[in-house]
Parts: sequence; C-alpha cells; structure tokens
Amino acid sequence: MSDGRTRAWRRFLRNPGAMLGALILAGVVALAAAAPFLYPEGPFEMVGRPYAPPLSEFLLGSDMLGRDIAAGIAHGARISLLVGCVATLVIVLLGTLIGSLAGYFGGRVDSALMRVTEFFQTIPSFIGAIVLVAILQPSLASVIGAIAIVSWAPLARLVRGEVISVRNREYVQSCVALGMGDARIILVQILPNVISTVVVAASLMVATAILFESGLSFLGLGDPNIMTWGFMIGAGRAAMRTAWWMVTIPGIAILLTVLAINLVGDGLNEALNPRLKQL
Amino acid sequence: MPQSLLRVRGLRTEFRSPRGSWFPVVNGVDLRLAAGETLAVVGESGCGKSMLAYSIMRLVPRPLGRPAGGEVLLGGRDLVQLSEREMRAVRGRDVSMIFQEPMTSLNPLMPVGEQVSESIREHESCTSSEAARRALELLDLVGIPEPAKRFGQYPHHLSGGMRQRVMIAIALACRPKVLIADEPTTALDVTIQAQVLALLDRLKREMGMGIILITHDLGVVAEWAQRVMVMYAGRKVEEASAEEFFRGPAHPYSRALLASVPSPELVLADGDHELTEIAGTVPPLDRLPQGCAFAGRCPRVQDGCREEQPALRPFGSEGRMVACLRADSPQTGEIGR
Repeated sequence: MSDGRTRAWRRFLRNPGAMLGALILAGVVALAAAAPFLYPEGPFEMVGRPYAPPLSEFLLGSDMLGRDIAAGIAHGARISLLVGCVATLVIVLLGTLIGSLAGYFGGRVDSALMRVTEFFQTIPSFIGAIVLVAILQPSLASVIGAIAIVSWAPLARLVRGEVISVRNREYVQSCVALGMGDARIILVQILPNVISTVVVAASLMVATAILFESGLSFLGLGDPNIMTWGFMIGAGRAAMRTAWWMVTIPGIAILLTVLAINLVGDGLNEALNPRLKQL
Repeated sequence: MPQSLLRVRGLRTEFRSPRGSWFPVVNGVDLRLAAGETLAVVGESGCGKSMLAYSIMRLVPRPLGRPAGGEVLLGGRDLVQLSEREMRAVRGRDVSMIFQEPMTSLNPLMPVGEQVSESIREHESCTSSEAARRALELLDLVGIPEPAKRFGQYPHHLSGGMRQRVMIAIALACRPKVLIADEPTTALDVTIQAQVLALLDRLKREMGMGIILITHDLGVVAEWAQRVMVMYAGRKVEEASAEEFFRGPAHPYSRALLASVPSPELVLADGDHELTEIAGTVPPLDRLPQGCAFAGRCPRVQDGCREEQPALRPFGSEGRMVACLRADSPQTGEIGR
C-alpha cells in the first residue's frame, strides 16, 4: 500500500469527529444487521398495548396500533442504509460515467451531455422525486430510482471538472502519445486520480439519499409494505401531542445516522484532500 | 545518405485565429530522418517546433488546430492517411514521444514499474508477469539503479532525472523506430541533462532508432545531433549537418541564434564572439508580414526580402538547404562554394 494511502488512513483515524461518526454509523449498521434476530416477528406485528411510553412495556414504547417502536427503528435502519447505499451507487455510476465522458472527450460530446445535466439540475430535486415516485408507483426500487435520477447531475459536473483538469496533465497526454486507447486512459489513468473526490461526494450523498427517502415515506410515498423511519414519523404525527416518542425516536434515528455519515464524509474529505495529500 | 526511416513532405498544420480564420503554424515542412541519426530541430519558442512533433504524431489539439496537408511516410505508410485506430497502433510502437516535464509526465498514483508494463501491454499481447519482467529489464536498460526496488515505487519517490529515465523506458517499451524528444532535458539540471542525453544516444545506437530532438539549447545540438534543422515562424529556414551548421550557419536567423549562445565552444568561424540578442520577437503567426518572416528582425535585410517568401533551396554541400535570398553572399569565407 502506498504511503499516501496509509497517511490518509492515519489522518482519518486521528480525526475525533470522523471517529465519532464512524462509531455511530457502526452502531446503526450493527442494529440493521441484528434486526431479524432481535425482532424476528417484524416491525408491523402488533405486540402489545398501544401508546405505551418508552421504558415501560417496551424499551422505546409502542405506537397507536401497539407496534414496538424499537422493532421499527431496527428494521427501518435496514431500509435507510439500503436506500442510501444503493441510490448512491447508482448516482456514482451514472455521474462518473457521464462526467468522465463529457470531461474526456470535450467539444460536442461535452456540450450535449452538459445540457442534459443542466436540464436535470434545474428540476427542484425533492419535488422531482415526489413526482417520479407518484408516477412509478411507490416501491423500494422506484424510491431508489427517483432519488438517483434527481441527484446524479451535480456529481456528473464535479467529475467532469476533475476529469478535465487531469486530462490536460502531461502524463495523460503522453499516454495518448504512446497510443493508449480512450477507454483505457479514462479507466486506468484518469479515474484513479478522481476517485478521492468521488468518494467524499458519495459519502455525503448517502446522507442526502437517506433524508430523501425519509421525506418521501413521511409523505406516504414510500413502499407501503416496508417499515421506514420516515413512515413512522408520518404515522405518529397525528399523536404528536399525546405520544411524543412516536415521532421523536425515529427523528433522532434519522438525525444520528445522517450526522454520523456527514462526520465520516468530512473526515474522508480531510484525509483525502489532494492539497493535504502532497505534504 | 543512408536510407531514410521517416520522411515528411510538405507537412502543414493550421490553427484558428480568434477572428476565425486559419493560419499555418507548421508551413510546408519537409524532413528526413535516417536510422541511428539524431536530427535536432531548433528555434525560438513559438516557431513551430513542438507543433511539428505533434503534427507527425497526429496529436494536434482540436478544435484549436487542424492538419492541412502533407505526408508523413514511415515504413511505407503515410501516417496522415491512417484511421485514428491505425494511428493509435503506430503511436508508441513505431513512433514514440517523450515530453519536457518529467515531474508531471508520470501518473502520480501508479507505481512506475506498472506504468512501464502498462505501455508494453498496450501494444503487445503478453501476460502481466511477462510485461512486468520486460518492464524491469527496461528500467535496468535506462540505467535506473536497483530496478526491482524502484519498480514498485511511485513517481514522487524519484528524482527528476530518474523520472525522465522512466519516461524514456516507457517511450522505448516497444522499441519504436522513431523517437521524438520534445525538450527532454529542459527541466533537468545540467549534469543530469548530459546523463539523459548520453543515455538516449546509447539507446539510439543499440536499437537503431532515429531521434528527432527538439530543443532550444544549441549546446545540446552541438554535442548530440548529426543534423540540424532551424525553424522560424512555422517554416524550415535552414537544414545542415551539425558540423557545417556550427562551422558557418547560412541563414541570418541561424547566425543570430548562434550568436546569442554564451558558450565558448560555439564561437563562430569568423570570430564573431560578441553575445547578441535577437531584436524583437517572432511575429504573430496569424499576422505574418509579406515576404520573409524574419525580414523585420534581420540585420541583412534587403528590398527583395519583403516581397516574397524565399524558397528553400539547396545550398553548398549535399543535403544542405537554406531559405534566404542573401545566403549567397559569403558570410564565412567558405560558404557559397
């Protein structure tokens, strides 16, 4: 492993914010992984008295139908992480593909792809996602697809900018002079130099995707057969004054997860920042 | 004259001016390069040296520039007529190029050995272990000490001279017939310069390559080149064997270039020791004056010079050419037969 990479790791490990974020995130991942064992009956099962406050019958109380909120949080973590990661993966693939083609080939290819990108950037993203999910019918796949479609454009622009700057460096020019093919130059020579920027942007995008998903399911546009944090908040909203925990606990879950991911993202940014990397 | 390896005839490359018209940056250049020969291309910045190299490699930046005729004959093929795909196979395998800046010419995120084997695998189908073995040999060939240790290191571990050696290894990976070296030593300090040029010279002889050495350092030319080609404003204005060139340059521009070099070994034959700068600059290529492009700066200018571009004509000995109306007038006693 290169010095640069080990140094980046060390910087990340020494960053208290990033470590806190990583710790919380690890907790969320563990909870998501353990959900089927901790609550094998599933989050929709009515297991006890409705409106039970936290630390009484259930650890985190129950909702108005007597469903265990802790079970909802654990199972909801699976969905949040799944949506966050899969949507981000799609965004990264799409954004990197379009950005690198536009940046590498320039000229007309660039103009055409950037006009398309700008078209997507002009759509207010959350409203765009609502419309898409409404048209496609709410399901896990349509939610992920909608989030990806409204979010890839900024990443494509970011990648394009980075690719243009790397493309004009001499070592890329000398690869052209040595007869290397376009695809090979993009994959082997350019993308590794762009990847740290993409990693940082993508880590923050996971958090945004989780927020989007929560917002959509809060509005009732989530998959109706899946328990999510947003859905719990939406359902508990009616009883907010009498049973605060029904909205507060899933809200805290979202807050902590998004915060943790942002902390990790910032830590990665500092660790991989190309300006610091040269030191 | 030995069999020529590379022949360039009437090569012309144009750039687009801000006003949208096209003007030549390489203007009808002919050259021939024999195996085992080093041809130096000299001239000031902006006279078209690098563009000549890019035109031969068909790497003229688009849409700023465009090829506008001529032929580049290598191994019986005209490179100008090849498809982009065929040309890609030629680059690196038949004609290779090394660049000025060894600091930025290597990928900072890839071990140097891998970069060498990458360029082997681009043109030849061989296994990665075979490519790695040959890369190691190449690193050894270009005089890198402890090649096995260097193989896995990144460019920032290497000094400038080492990096330029790696660049040379990459360029020579497929034993090209022609190597174009675009100011290969400008960024290196003087002792390293000499080492790198000696290395190129040795490899040239071992592999039977021809080298086109683009430089503005006449000291380098005197030491390493067999023939010299002087460019001015996109045209070839003089061509001579290195020996004749330094004995008595025929074109006033060549004389001016030589007179501006502060080197004791490069004293002109007529005893003109004085270090002089060339007044003025290369005229903007999109607004060249009528007649000889050098007329505005030429100390020997006469009326006819401003009327039409002097044609390149044989001058004196075999293979010597000059494009100047006044080159007949004896300048060094032995010129003009």
